[in-house]
Amino acid sequence: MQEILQKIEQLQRAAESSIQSAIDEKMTEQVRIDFLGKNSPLTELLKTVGKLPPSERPVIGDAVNKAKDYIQLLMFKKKADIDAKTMGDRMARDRLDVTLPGRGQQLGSLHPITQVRDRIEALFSSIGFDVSEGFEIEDEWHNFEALNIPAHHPARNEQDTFYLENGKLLRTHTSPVQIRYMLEHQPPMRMIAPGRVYRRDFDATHTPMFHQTEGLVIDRQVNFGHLKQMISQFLRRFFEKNDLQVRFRASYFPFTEPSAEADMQCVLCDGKGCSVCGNGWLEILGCGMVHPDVLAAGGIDSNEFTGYAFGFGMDRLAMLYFGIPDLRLVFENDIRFLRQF
Amino acid sequence: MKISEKWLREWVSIASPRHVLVDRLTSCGLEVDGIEPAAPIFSGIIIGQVLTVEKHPNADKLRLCTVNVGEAEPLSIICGAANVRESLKIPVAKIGAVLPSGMKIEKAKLRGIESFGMLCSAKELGLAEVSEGLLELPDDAPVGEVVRDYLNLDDYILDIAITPNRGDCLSVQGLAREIAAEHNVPYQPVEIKSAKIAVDDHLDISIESPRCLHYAGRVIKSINANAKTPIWMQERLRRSGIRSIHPIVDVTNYVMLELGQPMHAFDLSKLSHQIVVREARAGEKLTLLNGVEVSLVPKTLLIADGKTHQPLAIAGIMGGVSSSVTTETQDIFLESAYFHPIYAFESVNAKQYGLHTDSSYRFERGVDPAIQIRALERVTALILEFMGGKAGPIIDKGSPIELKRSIILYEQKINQLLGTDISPKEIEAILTSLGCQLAKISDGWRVDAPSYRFDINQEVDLVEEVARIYGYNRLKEKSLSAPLILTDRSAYTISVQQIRMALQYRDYHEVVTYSFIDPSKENFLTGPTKRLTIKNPMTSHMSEMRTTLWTGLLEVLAYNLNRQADRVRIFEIGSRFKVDETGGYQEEKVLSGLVYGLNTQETWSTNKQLADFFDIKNDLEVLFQQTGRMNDFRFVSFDREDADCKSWVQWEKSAIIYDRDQRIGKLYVTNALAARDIALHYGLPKEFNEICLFELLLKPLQEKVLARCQSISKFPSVRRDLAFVLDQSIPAEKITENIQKEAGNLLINLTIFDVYQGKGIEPGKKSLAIGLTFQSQDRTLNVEEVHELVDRIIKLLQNTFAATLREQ
Repeated sequence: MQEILQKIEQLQRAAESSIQSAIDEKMTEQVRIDFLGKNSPLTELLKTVGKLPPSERPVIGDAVNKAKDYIQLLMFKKKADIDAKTMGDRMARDRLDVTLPGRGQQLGSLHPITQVRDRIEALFSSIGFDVSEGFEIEDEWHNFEALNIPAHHPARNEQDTFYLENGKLLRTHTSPVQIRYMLEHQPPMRMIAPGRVYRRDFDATHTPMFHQTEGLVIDRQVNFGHLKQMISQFLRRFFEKNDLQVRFRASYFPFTEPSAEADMQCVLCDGKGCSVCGNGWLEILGCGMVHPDVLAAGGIDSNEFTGYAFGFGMDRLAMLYFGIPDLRLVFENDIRFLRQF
Repeated sequence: MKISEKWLREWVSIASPRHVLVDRLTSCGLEVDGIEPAAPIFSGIIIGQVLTVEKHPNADKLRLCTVNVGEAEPLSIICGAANVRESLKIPVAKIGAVLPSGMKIEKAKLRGIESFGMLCSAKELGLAEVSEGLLELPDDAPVGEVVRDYLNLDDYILDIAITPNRGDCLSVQGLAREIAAEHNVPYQPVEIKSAKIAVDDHLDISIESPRCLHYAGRVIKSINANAKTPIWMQERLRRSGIRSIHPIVDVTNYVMLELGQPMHAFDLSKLSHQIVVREARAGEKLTLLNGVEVSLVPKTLLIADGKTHQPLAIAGIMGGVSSSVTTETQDIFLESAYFHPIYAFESVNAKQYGLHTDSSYRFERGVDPAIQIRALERVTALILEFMGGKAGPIIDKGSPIELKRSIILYEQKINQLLGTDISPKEIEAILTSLGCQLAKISDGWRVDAPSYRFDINQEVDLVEEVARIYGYNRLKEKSLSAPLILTDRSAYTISVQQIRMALQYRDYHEVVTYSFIDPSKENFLTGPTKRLTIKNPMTSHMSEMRTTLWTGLLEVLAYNLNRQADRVRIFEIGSRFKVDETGGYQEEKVLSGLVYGLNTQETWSTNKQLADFFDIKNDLEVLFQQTGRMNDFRFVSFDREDADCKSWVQWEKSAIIYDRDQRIGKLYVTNALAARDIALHYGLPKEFNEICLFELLLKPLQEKVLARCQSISKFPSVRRDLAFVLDQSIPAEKITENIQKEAGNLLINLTIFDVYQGKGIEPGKKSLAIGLTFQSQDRTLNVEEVHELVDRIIKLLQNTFAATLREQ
């Protein structure tokens, strides 16, 4: 019996070393046939167990089965190792160059002026301002007379208006939207009117078409302090600079009285003075308390209501916001320029 | 307006340094645009007098001069100027002097002879852009005095922007008044005495137009024709940008700068002693001082000769040559008048003249109606002082108009509008300093504004006056309180921002182009079209309003292709202006786009393919899907006979877009046969690929329907794929519509997964492969009923379109 047990142990060791040296699926299969197959010595041994004396039968049977289980286990492990290696080889072959660019469309761009317009609309909408557009083709009454600019007024000459053959004109500012809005709504009201405007002017810093935003607030007891606060806060939020300095100077617009020009600390040099601002201040916006004649033209009783209005150029704001050095770039629409925004 | 700072400070005595003066002017509404020195830096230049002049022995154009500079010995200086002559007084740059150019004067040898300095021209001293010969100084200029001191050159020129309402500040007097109020000090007006009457010449003046309100004048005789304009006066004129022309003209200009009253001097010998102020008649002509003969436009206000009826001057704008003063003039007639501002404005605006003079500029904005006589006396006094002569009596027609406007001002109004609590005392002080007269009434004042303040007419005008002198920066910022009301944010509207961003995410760049176009360029696209025409365009390239945004987009394409771009995907949202039969117009917001080049960025992973109709269609479909009413939008094949079908469009590849029954836009692909024409009109490179263009009304893209939740079936779905062979001209939409109608709501999805023409398919036919997915909400469909449904569909298509099932 000892002899048989020794033989089993020998077979187990032989299987062990065969499994170890197997390097692929084919070789492991051969090991299985050799050591666990129908005709393998272990199987043969098991067939002879019946011929052994009864006391030895369980011992030998048990030993053979244990050896088979052991070999089986080693085989599984080996198989798993070989599978992993084959898969691994295939994956290594299919490895992606993750640095290659992705497929499909890229991101386009929104024009810097409309981006600024969106930002302005978002800021004012957040405190309940309505957005109104008006018309680009206007009549003299809305563009001038109703805004207190009669026919002979020097301010009318200075604006260099484009007139149309049909007697209308291209609006020279977004201010006529004030009138249209007042006539269509009841106070209290607050609105902004962004849009295109036109003037006969074409040089390094002027284009015959440009963009403005108008603002109008009418309520009981609105005063100049409210106007100053709104303008200062708007500029500070727009440029996200809470300590931005803003100053107000007396100025003249026929449709506001008192009128003011607002200057802000240059955002390019922090007010130190640079080639863009000169003295550290940038003229940015015109504003004032709505003239009683303009309120009257808008059908609003100036004894009951007062209001303020403001207007500024979006092109200039966009240039400052994005650091665009030349107005002409804004209308050239060079893709290389647009792509940046 | 440019003005000498020293001159201003003579009129108003303030201790504040320049930057304070300037800041205060700017913050009070008179923006100082520029500050420049009256003369550049130079040193060592003194007044000298030429003693002798001899020819240089070795040079024709040079002269040897001896010059007295107030030292023991005269200097020997070589000079090339033509006007050098004995006894002339000139600026001398001595050895060691430094000129504005930085040049240092040293002893020099010119053609073998030594020169100890240099005689200077105005240009060399930086006092003129150009000058001929030496700067001639007056005979009484003190030899040896430093030129900078003598000409008062350590001065600054302030360039002040005057807003249209402040015509009263277009003079030293006006600015001094304003500065005095800003600094709360008095100002010192120049003292003007009435001239002694020495001759009794009188002219008959008649005013025949209501637009001349006041006309005053006087004769001055026996003026010294050789007199010169005093050098200090020339200097002050120069600092205001006015050239010295003729002593009499210089004096009238000087007084215009000083007091703000434009005046004109006529040569008396050329007048017939009758002056008429009247409007021009048709056919009249006048040669103006600038040498231009103008045909006078009727209604132009004229100064005319009462006897000869000849026009002498356009009132308040420019005089005529025939009656102008010359170097021989000894007797003059001086005019000091008040013309109505409206008149001046209309005349200056008259295209026929195209004039803009210092005089018209002031009359446009309004001259002080109370100042004509005072200005006349001032000119007279200066002429008599510097040119001699005998003054006649003042002739005065019309009357100095009273522009008295009493305005009621309530104290409460000021503080309400400004959000302040300025005391009544301070309000009174401010308004009084501005020349207003105040009478106390209960709760406020009755205020009379001074005659020169045309801009003060209402209570708010006074509020502004108080505010600006009080200081805008002292007004306290305060946030306005308003009721909490939610703004209207309709879920049924897609914002323009959303549309723009959808396109951005599909690789489009947004552009902004001009709304006016070159009609010849746009006509190429649209055919001759009625448009809104600009009467006064900048150029013919910007003379009509666009009826499509494509012209601008094609220009952008050309701009970029000419700069080596090869893929351009752009869009613009803006207005187009369509004119209808009756001449009415519509301002329509549209979305317009252009696509050129590869459908995606050049890439390593897929085949390079040019963007075509279906790429763009997909971009637009995304916008349609966004509205939640995808099925409302349809692309309809182009009809060759359609009025919109232009030769540059390849109609076979283009479509009209509908939202339900409304035609809302089009998607065009350019015709290769028209490539040369397109290139020619838009400056595109010679070789280019097809261009896709689309333009749609914006509004339909914004009309959204709100999603209603539908239940999702729990039962399995069944898919059947069918391939039909049918006539190539039958649009896929017709087939899908019919299938949908026949299948009813059991059909939950329909996909066209293949379109094929070619081998195996009869010419003129196409194969259309369609995947149909059926599903029921309440049961599992059985094979028989699906089979029966598919059979019905096949029969229907067979009967309607002669479509046959494709052999497998």
